[in-house]
This record gives sequence, C-alpha cells and structure tokens, in this order.
Amino acid sequence: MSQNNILLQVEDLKVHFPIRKGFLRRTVGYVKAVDGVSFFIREGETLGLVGESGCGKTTVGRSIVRLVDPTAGQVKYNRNEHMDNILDYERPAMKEVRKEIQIIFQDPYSSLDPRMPIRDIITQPLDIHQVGTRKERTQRAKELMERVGLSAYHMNRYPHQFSGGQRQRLGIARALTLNPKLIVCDEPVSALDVSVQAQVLNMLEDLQDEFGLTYLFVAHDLSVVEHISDRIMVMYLGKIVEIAPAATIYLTPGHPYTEALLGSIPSGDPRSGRKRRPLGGTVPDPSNPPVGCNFNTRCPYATDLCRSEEPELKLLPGSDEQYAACHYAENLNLRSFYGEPQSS
Amino acid sequence: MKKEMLLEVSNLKTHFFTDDGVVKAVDGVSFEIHKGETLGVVGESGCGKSITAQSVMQLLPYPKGRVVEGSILYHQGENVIDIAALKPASRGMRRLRGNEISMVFQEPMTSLNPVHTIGRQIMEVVIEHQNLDKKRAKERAVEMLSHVGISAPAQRVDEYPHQLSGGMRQRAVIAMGLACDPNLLIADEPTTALDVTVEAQILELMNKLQDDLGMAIMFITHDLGVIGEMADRVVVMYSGKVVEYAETDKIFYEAHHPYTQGLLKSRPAIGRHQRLVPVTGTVPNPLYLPKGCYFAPRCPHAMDICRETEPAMFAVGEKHWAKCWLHAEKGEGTA
Ligand SMILES: Nc1ncnc2c1ncn2[C@@H]1O[C@H](COP(=O)(O)OP(=O)(O)OP(=O)(O)O)[C@@H](O)[C@H]1O
Ligand SMILES: Nc1ncnc2c1ncn2[C@@H]1O[C@H](COP(=O)(O)OP(=O)(O)OP(=O)(O)O)[C@@H](O)[C@H]1O
Ligand code: SF4
Ligand SMILES: [Mg+2]
Ligand SMILES: [Mg+2]
Repeated sequence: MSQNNILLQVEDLKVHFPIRKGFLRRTVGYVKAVDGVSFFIREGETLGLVGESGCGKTTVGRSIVRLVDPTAGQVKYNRNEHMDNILDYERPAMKEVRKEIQIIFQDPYSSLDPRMPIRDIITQPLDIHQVGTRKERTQRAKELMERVGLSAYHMNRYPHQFSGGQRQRLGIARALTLNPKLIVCDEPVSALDVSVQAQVLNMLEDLQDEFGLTYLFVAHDLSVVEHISDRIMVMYLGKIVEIAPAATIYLTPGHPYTEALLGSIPSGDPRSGRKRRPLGGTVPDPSNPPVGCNFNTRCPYATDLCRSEEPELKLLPGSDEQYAACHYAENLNLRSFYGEPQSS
Repeated sequence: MKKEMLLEVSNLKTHFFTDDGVVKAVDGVSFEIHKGETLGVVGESGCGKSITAQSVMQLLPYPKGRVVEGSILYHQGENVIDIAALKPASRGMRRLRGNEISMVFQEPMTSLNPVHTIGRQIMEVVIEHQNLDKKRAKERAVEMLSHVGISAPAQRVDEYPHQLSGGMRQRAVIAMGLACDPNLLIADEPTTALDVTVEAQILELMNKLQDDLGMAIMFITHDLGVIGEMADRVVVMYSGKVVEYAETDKIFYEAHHPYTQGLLKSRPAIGRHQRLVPVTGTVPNPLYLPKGCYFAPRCPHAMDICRETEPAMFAVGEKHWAKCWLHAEKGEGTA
C-alpha cells in the first residue's frame, strides 16, 4: 500500500462561512468549519473520516469536489503524474477533473431528483459530459444498475418507487457512470438499516477491487469506518486531531479525543465486560473556538500549555504512519477501544 | 429472587386502516416487563417498534391506527389495568401517562415546545400530575435538570429549547419524563439522533437514573450495540411480529432465529476484520406480506413449510423463544 502514488493532497484547507446579522446582513463573524486541514490519499486506498456532528467532515468532502469554495488552501489532484491545485482550475479543466472525482451523499432521499426516471438519473453525467450516443448511454445505465444489484427492468421507475437501500445503490451507480478514480462517500450508509448497510458496504469494497477506486469515506459511526478504511482521520472542531492506520488507531490511539471516541462506542457484546467511558462537556461554538488546543475544554489531560499554544499535527515516534495533534501525544498512556492502557 | 410483574403485553395487534389497505404494524406481539428491568426492543425500520410503544401509551393516530386485539396489562400494586381497554383521552389513561409511564422520543423537539422555557415545560408536567404549587414545581424542575446532569440548572431552567445543544435537549426531555417518578420509561431510540459521545453520556445517565429511581425501561433501538449494553432481556421484531425473545446474553451468543443471526453478522465490529455477511434482500412491503414465515424470502434456511405456514413461537431454551420452523421439534412455547 505505502508505495502507491498519492492521488489527492489537501494542504492547509480552510473554509470559513460568514455569519451575517441584521438588516444590512453585515458579517459579524465566521464559522470556521474547516480550519487548516492537511492530508493525502493514496491511489486505491480508503481514507476514513470521523468526528462529531458539525466538525467539518462534509465541508472537507464538498471542498474536494468544489461544491463549496474554500477560503484558503490547496487541493492537489494527481493528473498524469502532476499534482495540480484544482482550486485554480477554470471551468473547462474542472469539468474534466470532475469526471474523475465523484461524490455520494448521505441522504438517498433528497439527492435524487424525484421527477426523473432513474435511467435519466444515471445517464445524466454522461449527458452533461456528452459521452456516447443515447443508445450507448442507456446501455451503460443498464450495466450499472445490474452492477449495483438492481434489475435494469426498473429503469423507467422514479426514485420514490425504491427503498432507501435501493436509492443508495442508485446514487452509487450514478457516481460510477463516468469511471471515476476518487469517490467522496459522505455518510453513504448512515441512513440504512444494518442488513442493508452491510450489503452496501460489501458492494463498495467489491467495486473498489474491481475498478481500483479510491475512497474518502465520511461517517460518524466508528465501527463502520474502522471496517472499511485503510487509514482513519479524526476531526474535531474543524481540525484534524489524528491520522493513523485503522488497525493502529483503536489499539493505540494517539490523541485524547480519539481515546474518548473509542470509549464512547457501545461495546455491543454483553460478555465483553467493557465499560463505556463517556467524555464530559459539549463541543464549543465553532465561531469562537478555544485558544490553544481546541480540545482543551473537554480534555482530561489539559494543562496551561494546552490552553495557550496550539499543538501541531506531528508524526509519532516509533511509527511511520500515525500523526496526532497533541502536546503530550508521546507521553500519554491512552486507552484502547477495549479499555486497557497501551503500554504493556 | 422473584421479579415483580409490571407490564404484560399479550397478542397485541395494532393495525392501520389506510386507503391502500390494512397495515398490520403490530401483529400478535407478546412480552413482559418486570419492575426495575430493561427490556430491549430491536429490529429494522418499519418492523413496528414505535407503534408497539405508542400502543402502550395510547398515543396512536386514532382512528386510522388502533389496537384491534390483545391486552396490555399494567400492574399497579394489586390492581391490574388493561390499557388496551382504556380510551386514549380517558382520565384513567391520562393518569397512567405521565404518572406511571412516560416516554422519550428520538427527536427531543417532538416533546418540547419551542416557545416555552425548559423549566415551564417540566413544571407543567409536575403541576398536572403531582399537585405542587408553582414555587415547589420550579424547585422540582431545577432538581430534575441537575439530576440529568445539566450544569447551572437554576439558570438553564429559564432557557428555551433552541438555546440547548441536542444532547442537552434530550437530557431535558428525560428530566421531563422522570419528573413524576414513573415506574416505566419507554425510550424510543433516545440516542439515535445524537453523536456517539453524547449517546454514551445519555446511556450512562439512564443507567444511573435507573439505579437511583428503580424504574423499568422499555428501550427501543435498531442498534444491537446499544441493546447489548442496556437490556436485560430482548425482543427482536420483524414485520410486526416478535421473532425471538430471550435474555440479552442468549440473543448475542445463542441466537436461534435466522434473522437475529443475520443481524448479528451484518454488523461491523471494531477489531473484527472479516467480510460482513449481510441478510440478503429487504423487508417485505407491509401491504404485500409473503405467505408463511415473513422472513422466508430472505432466509438462508427456508424450507417448503416456511413458505406455506407461519411458524409459532417455539421454546428453544430456558425463557428463550424463536418463531422459526427449524426449532419446531422443541414444542410450542407460551411467550
Ligand atoms: N453553507 C454553510 N453556511 C454556513 N455554515 C455552514 C455551512 N455549511 C456548514 N456550515 C457549518 O460548518 C460546520 C461544519 O459543518 P459540516 O456539515 O461540514 O459538518 P459535518 O462534520 O459534516 O457534520 P454532520 O456529521 O452533522 O454531517 C458546522 O458548524 C455547520 O453549521
Ligand atoms: N400513520 C400511519 N399510517 C399507516 N401506516 C403506518 C403509520 N405509522 C406507521 N405505519 C406503519 O407501521 C409499520 C410500523 O411502523 P413503526 O413506526 O412502528 O416502525 P419502527 O420499527 O418504529 O421503525 P423505525 O426504526 O423506522 O422507527 C410500518 O410499516 C409503518 O409504515
Ligand atoms: S421459519 Fe424458515 S424461513 Fe423463517 S426463519 Fe425459520 S428457517 Fe427461515
Ligand atoms: Mg456531514
Ligand atoms: Mg420507530
């Protein structure tokens, strides 16, 4: 895995949404939805992205497909061995790149146009990019429907005639129409029942193997993310607090917030004897984040240093893949998912 | 230790009479809840969990939805009341609702009025049910807010719902539900809309309140992980019917029904890097239910009889029942 090419490199990405008030809609402040985020994704890997509601996951995903305009930073995408900042692209060039970068949304209900028969929904990207004849497009729609486990016989139906799981499959089929390389999956299974969720997760894994896809997989359910990801990125209040391989992160978390997330997961096994370890407090207001480390208001290990100086995301000693943004990342003996401290 | 019976639901049928036909949302459901215990109710979307709860609370959208058969016996000391025989708006039902049984919903705003302060809403509950004067009622509201872990309760009591975070709102709703010291709290997906960290706080809180106050909880969720932590016993529902009923440990380690087994294998678990084994297909349309066992079209073990005749609840172990022909030889149970 680690020798694979880097497909996407995000550098110091910032997305600040203005807060407007009053008759003149004057800007009175900014929601720092994403505030200096840097990471990369290798070709063919799945990078998971987790964090609490409002921490900026969707905004990161939407910045990559340019559905929101970042305030600052770069999104570099590997095109023919060149890392181009696609935020600089003008329309025609962006249109080309958008063939390769697709997005799947959380809500299979609102992301499909209810007035369009599903053949048109799936072929729409082909129409926009003027690929193939009408007959070829219909043929492609047929193939894709069968590939995601739906009968092509239903091509003339409308979205409301499908169940939530089937609609999510339609969303996936549409994202695949143009043979993309990278798919931003924004909570693709969060609205689904477990049995259907498992079907869709398996399908995403199969499609990845078959077409060599790369995923940025956003979810708030850590067990889902841990299942599907090669590496996991944890966000808190617009910033990355940790990035590490999936197999590392639940055994030896590198950041107190990751520890807290792991401690919050219900064990789901009455015999495990594992005790939940809830985190106190609530997420601070993103328009007025704490000074220093933005987790300091809830962190059980916070010191004066944490309340004054912001920690950098840095590589942990003894690892070539685990990064954490905590002043004490090297000294804390954080608990694993199972509840044991890691040094043993 | 002999457990005292609190709620006995037998052969409950709640149907919806819609323009397209009859939806048998709850169709012959039976279970028991003892004093102080937690009964988990689990199953996928549309299986009838919420309608079961709303039947117990008599909060159905009458006349479209109504209890057409069965009994809901509530044990009030020596007294036994059949809720199914009470009128939703009757005095008897109103007294049960709020005094003896209260409910917490998935979305806290369903229970909160956006234009009134949190304190006023809790006060209304205690004034109606406990005959307290305004001053005492307000003290009680502050006390309850502090009980559910809301900091600075004396100040929060005068705040409006929109001033609270999602987790705090759900705490406030729980405070409202517990203000009258009920014997049974029905929690319908109380943490589903919350982040995992907030969920953990709320679950912890519910466990603590149960230890302190001794109420029984009917805990509805689609999340087996949460069930594993919260429930003493579990009812697994599928298409309006109970398909398995046992102690939590047995559900997790000795599941007998193919649907329960399928749910367990569908679930990703931390540290277990195996391919998921999903239940294939989807739940049937409630207006066009299959013949025989409703699970047969998705069941990997389905036999001819499954596609013809509905199985009974067979006893498969001590206080353990499964509605599946694979276990017919064990003889019919009584659950
Ligand atoms: N268009 C917008 N205008 C103003 N604020 C926004 C906008 N979109 C998002 N925000 C704010 O930015 C922050 C991050 O939102 P985002 O949707 O990225 O979070 P998220 O991590 O995806 O959360 P969730 O888990 O709830 O989907 C939030 O505080 C949100 O309210
Ligand atoms: N007002 C209504 N009119 C007609 N049918 C209804 C009505 N309310 C619920 N139903 C049907 O009753 C069945 C059971 O619904 P219920 O809300 O109890 O499911 P649930 O198990 O709580 O699902 P979820 O996990 O999605 O909350 C479903 O088939 C649903 O469509
Ligand atoms: S009765 Fe038959 S179809 Fe139904 S669950 Fe059992 S084996 Fe499967
Ligand atoms: Mg989001
Ligand atoms: Mg429900």
